[in-house]
Parts: sequence; structure tokens; C-alpha cells
Amino acid sequence: MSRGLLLILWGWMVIWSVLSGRLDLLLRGVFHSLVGASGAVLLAAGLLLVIRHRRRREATRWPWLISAALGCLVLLIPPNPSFSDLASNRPQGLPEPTELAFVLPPEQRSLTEWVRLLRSQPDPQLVDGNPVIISGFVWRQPEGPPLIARLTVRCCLADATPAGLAVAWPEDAEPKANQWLAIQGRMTVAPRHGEPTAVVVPTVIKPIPRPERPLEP
Amino acid sequence: MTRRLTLLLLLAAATVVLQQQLLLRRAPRLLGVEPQPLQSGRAAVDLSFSRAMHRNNLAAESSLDPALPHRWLGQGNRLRLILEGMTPIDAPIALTLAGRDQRMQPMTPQTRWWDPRPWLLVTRQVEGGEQLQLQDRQGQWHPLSPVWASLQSLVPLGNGSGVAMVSSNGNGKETIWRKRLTTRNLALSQQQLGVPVQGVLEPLSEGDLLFGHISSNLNGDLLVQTGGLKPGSETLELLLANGERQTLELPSSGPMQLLPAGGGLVVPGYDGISIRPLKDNGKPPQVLPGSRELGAFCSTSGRAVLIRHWPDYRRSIELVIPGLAPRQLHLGEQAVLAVSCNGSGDRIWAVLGIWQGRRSQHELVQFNSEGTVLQRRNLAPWTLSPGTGMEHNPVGNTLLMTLTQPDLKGGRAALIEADTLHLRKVMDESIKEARWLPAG
Repeated sequence: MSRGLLLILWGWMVIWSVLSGRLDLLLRGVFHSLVGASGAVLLAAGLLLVIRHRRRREATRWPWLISAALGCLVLLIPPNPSFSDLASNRPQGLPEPTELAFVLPPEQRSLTEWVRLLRSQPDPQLVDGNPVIISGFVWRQPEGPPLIARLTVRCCLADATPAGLAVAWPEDAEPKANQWLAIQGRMTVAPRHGEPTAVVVPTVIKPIPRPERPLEP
Repeated sequence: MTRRLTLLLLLAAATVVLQQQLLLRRAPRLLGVEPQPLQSGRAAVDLSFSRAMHRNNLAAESSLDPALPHRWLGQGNRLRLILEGMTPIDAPIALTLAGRDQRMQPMTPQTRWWDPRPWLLVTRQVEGGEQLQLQDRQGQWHPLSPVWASLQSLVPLGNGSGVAMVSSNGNGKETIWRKRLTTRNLALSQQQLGVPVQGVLEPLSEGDLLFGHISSNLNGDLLVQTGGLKPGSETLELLLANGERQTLELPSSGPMQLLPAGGGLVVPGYDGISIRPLKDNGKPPQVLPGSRELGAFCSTSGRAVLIRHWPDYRRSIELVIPGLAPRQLHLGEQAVLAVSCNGSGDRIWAVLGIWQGRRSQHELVQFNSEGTVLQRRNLAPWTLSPGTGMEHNPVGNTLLMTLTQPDLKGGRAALIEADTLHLRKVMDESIKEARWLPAG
């Protein structure tokens, strides 16, 4: 019976992660139904075991207890990952865009689209003066000012790739790592690490809550 | 058996180590050089290498002859060389490439010849009708088409890979054609540079058309818009540079234009003009209401020059900057006959027509992006040939126009200094229209 209860707990934990949106921190939305289905299977298997062995007494095993405690902790404590740390430890090769995003009005480009555009066209003068409306988290850099960034995923956090844009932070701004910000401004060209770089000059910086789906495809 | 297996494993390991050491010591190689039309300078090439290169080292050890101002951009194994400055380029450039990769392994120095100058294309009036011709660097003319009764319109493909044309049989029936060309503006030796090699001439429309409109972008894609004699026979087809064909379903009230950078097009409507992506992105199109027409694209900056017609018959010239309301550069009663701008959209040229007595005078005016007049010059005794435009060539820093005089038969191709607006050269040949064919 204990095994059945444990499966029910883990099955519920998986389903709860899908329903509460916690899974958005780990996995792209297109895969959520698969995870939800596996949670339902665990739940059903647990129920089946409980019904079949309801009169059988089983010895309590330590690994099961630890597993149950972990399951409860996952349910009780909301996750709060550091995207900045994760971004610093990931390679930066963004997948090629399906279509060069020059045709998008600049103010409609997301942060990821900006980064893809700038990587496909290494000439920052082409975007000098373009309006920018983006949001992302503050990505701390080992050297120099932090970037505004997003994590892109093909599947899940394990293949997350950071996309960051340089920002000319105003003197009174104190961006903290992992803080989510909405930035309005203009793109300009300024030297960074000895080379001309597209840099966002903000006119408005507004702290925002972490988006429900912080990972971008 | 065990001994044999051990030997095999050792052999495999030794092969791997040998291969690794050989690759590690292998010098970087230049894999390719291609022209890059989308750039902020006067001309650019993209260079690809077998290894990630040390850009600063490459920039220091490589050279250009003549020594033109330039800059290197990019990272890794794909770098971009952009020509800058204002000095006209009037000869091919010897590009000597040398430098080290990021492991400081030297590349064998090698030379490429690059001629970024565009070719002059004209619709010449010849016996029996009109013909498309290309002028080589020595001034010789090369026919690119048969002689047709009339050549209604001419659109060079943005990557120099061909020319699209609309011919007319003289009875109001039109046919659309594409002449394929292979560019020879990048070569291993100066002797290998030359006029584009002519390919096939292919009809792009079936049957006789009532109208045909063509447009191209810097990728070399071609938009073909046709209409027949029957109602509802209008078609819109996109011929991509890679050979694919797509039929588009877009309502419009006039000729559409592909955006220079690709991916979208400008669609005229009854209540303004709109910019639409070629692939629906689910976002609303950008619409500019009012009686406006597209004057010119400032090819690389996303800027464009519009001509606006006001209800009181005045016309204005507007500069469209992404994300901003159109900026009015000029407002007046003069006719706006042609406009052009440089790639970054910070210099704009316009030909304005003024009636003086019974004759019209044409004036060439240069504006900056704020609308300040930088230069103006009366074109007298010349006037702009009716229905022709004006094109800026950043390589030679010139404007190409088709000019005429009342007592002349046909027009003349004219080159005008883009900064001073001085007439540099007027050709002798009688033509209908002159255009630049990008070097590719």
C-alpha cells in the first residue's frame, strides 16, 4: 500500500507542476501534455496498487520515506531558479531564425529576435536608432555591465541557450541579477570589448514579475 | 584474441590522436568570399574560414589595394569586410588576406580581386524597337535582350543575378521576362573579373498580359504581379532566389514592392500603404494612411522615402524611420518627380519640377534626414526624362538619372556627383531608361 501512496504522491506532484505553471520554468509548453499524461499514469498506477494491496501490510523502507519527503517538499516550496547563473554556464549558440526578422517592425521584435538578428547580421550600424521594447532578466557578467537576457529552449532547461543584449544602464540604475525588467529605448552603437556593438539605451526601465512562461522557443 | 583486440584498440586510439594533432596544427584556410548586399557601408564581402579567426590580427595583416578605408566585423569563422569613406571607387580592389586564427596559426596569404562597382543597364532605342544593353568598363555595349517593340519596365535583381523586364508588343499586350546573369566581380585574378556571363532569357508569364509589374529585393527574389484581360485574372507570384515559386494571396490597389532586406513587401491600398510580411506572423500589418506612394527605399537601414499628395495639390517628401511617425522633409507645390536616398537614409535626393512660363524646370535637391537642404542645383538645360527615376550608387558616390532636352530624341544616361550635385558625365547614346545592375 505504501508503494501505491508514494506513486499517487509523485503522480500528483507531476500533475500539480503542470497545472500550477511550475513546469514552465523547466520545459517548453508543447511538451506539457506529455508530462501531464505521465503524471496521470503514475496516479492511476498508484490507485491501482492501493486498491489491490489495501489489506496487505508492508514494511516501511527508508528510501520510500525519503522519496515521499522529497515529493512533499517539491509540492510545498515553489522553485526559484537563478536564470543568470544558468545563462552563465550555458553555450551561446542560438538556432538560426526561420526568417530574417528585419521585416518585423523593430518595436515588435522580442529580445530573442533582436539577438538572432544581430548574430545573423554582425553590422550593428544597420539597427542604429531603432526603437526597442523588450523584457528579460538581468544577466550578471564576469566583466562589464550586466546584460538583459532571455533563455531559449528547444525542449527543456537542459538545452537552455542564453540570448543577451548589451544595455547602457543609466547611472542611477542598479540592476540586480535575475531581476526581471521591461525596457523601452533605442538601439545605438557603442564600443564594447573594443568593437562596435549594438547597445540598448533605455528611456524607461520598469521592474516586472517573472513571466509565466520565461523560456522562449 | 585479447592481444589482437588490444592492438586494434591501440591502433584506433593512435589514429584518433594523430588526426587530432594533424587538425590542431593545420593552418586556417579561406573557404569562400561572397558579396553582402545588406551592409551599412559602400560595399561589403563576407569571408568564411575553416577556423575561427583572430579578427584584429586578420585586420592588421590583410590589406586593400588601393588602400580604401574599411572595417572588419563579425566573430569566429565568418567575418565581414565593409568599405567606407567617400572616395569614389573607380578600379577593382586587390584584397590580400592574411592573418592568424584564434590559436595563432597563420593562414597562407592569398589575394582575391573584387570589383564592387555596379554595371550600367540601359533601355536603348535601336532599329525596330528597344533593347536592353549593358555597358562594360571600357564603354562597350552588350545586348542582353532581343529587340522588342517596347521595353516597358526594367528591374535589376538585387543580388545582380539577372534582370527582369516587361516587354510590350506595341498593341498593349505585355510579357514578363527574366534574363539570368552570372556575376564575375569576385575572382582569383584581375583577368577573371568581367561583365556578367549571360544565361537564358525565360518568359515569366503565359499569354498576353494587360499589365505586368515586377519588383526585386537584395536577396535576388522577384515579385511578379500580373493582370489579364478577364476580371479576376490578377496573379501575384514570388520567385525566390533559390528557385522556389510561391503564389501569394494579397489584395492591393496597385503595384507592390518587395522590401530590400527581404521577408516583406509594401502593399498600396485605397486608404494608404501597408507593410506586410511574406509569411504571416500573426501581427497586424503596419499601415500608413493617406495618399502616399513609395518613393525609394534606403536599402539597409529600414528607412524609406515617401511622396505624399495633399488635397490642395501640394506634395510633401517624407522620411519613414522605423518606429517613428513619418518625418516631413519638404512640402511645396512643386511636382516631386523622383527621390532617392543613401543606404542609411541620412541623405535624401529629390528632383522637383517647377513650371516657369510654358516650360518646366527641374531642380535636384539634397536633404539631410532632418529636412535641411544641403545642396540644390537646377538641371537646366536638362530635365528628367518622364517616368524615369534616380538611383544612388554608394560605390561611386553618384546619382544615376535619365535626362533629356526638348530638342533631343530620347534620354541620356547621366551621372551626377552625389555630394556636390555636379553633372559628372552625360552619355551620348539615346536611351529610354538607365538603371544600375548591382555587382552582386
